[in-house]
Amino acid sequence: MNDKKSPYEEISVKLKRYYDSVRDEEIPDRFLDLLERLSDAEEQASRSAKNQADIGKKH
Amino acid sequence: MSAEGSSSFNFRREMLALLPSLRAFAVSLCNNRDQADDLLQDAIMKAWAKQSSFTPGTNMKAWLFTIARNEFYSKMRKRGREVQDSEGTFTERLSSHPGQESSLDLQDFKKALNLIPEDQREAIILVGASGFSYEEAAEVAGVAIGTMKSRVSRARNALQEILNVDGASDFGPDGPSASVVAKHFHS
Repeated sequence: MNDKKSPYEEISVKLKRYYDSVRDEEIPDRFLDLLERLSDAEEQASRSAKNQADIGKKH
Repeated sequence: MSAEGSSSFNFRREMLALLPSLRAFAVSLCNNRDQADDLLQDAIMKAWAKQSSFTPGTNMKAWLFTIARNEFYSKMRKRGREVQDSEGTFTERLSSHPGQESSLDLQDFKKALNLIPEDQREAIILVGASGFSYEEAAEVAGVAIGTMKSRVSRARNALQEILNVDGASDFGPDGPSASVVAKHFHS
């Protein structure tokens, strides 16, 4: 309607631009590595639990 | 029928998809990037450890953000309240923006964001940037919806005042912003 933005609107736009600029950055490798390690550890834990169970069956 | 592992819901994949948003939340909430990285790391580990408490099909973003914000406040409490409202904290807040890739204008906005109280900062980020409804944001923060609404509006007023008063240029610790800041911190 007119070219004067409300102050609230200006704050909202800036906040969104700031937030989006961070969100659009590449995720640092350390966090991807962390997720991978957590995932691997879990897999290993469940595998060894399964092995334990199998061993248990044999005896 | 095994309920674990083989389900179509892949926790890790969902986490990965939400990581950029979660990181933006952490960076917006914290005073600097180091703090944000620590927070994100702890939040990821917490979430992973608690994954069995998440119900697939419910709002995972809200669940993750809740973990991150709780972690933020518990870290803040651990860091100690003795410095919280002191000038030392302001000095630290004002001078800590290394490694940011955003433009000058956005850096100034971030400085202003750092100057408002955490609960207001959290509120305006959740509602104004992360895309949560007032109701969801209230749930994430563990407060009533009316409280969330009033925090958001106080945050807007505070940011507006800080950015206007200072022309977003110089945030020297002894500058004119001090009185505005003090006012918001004691309101």
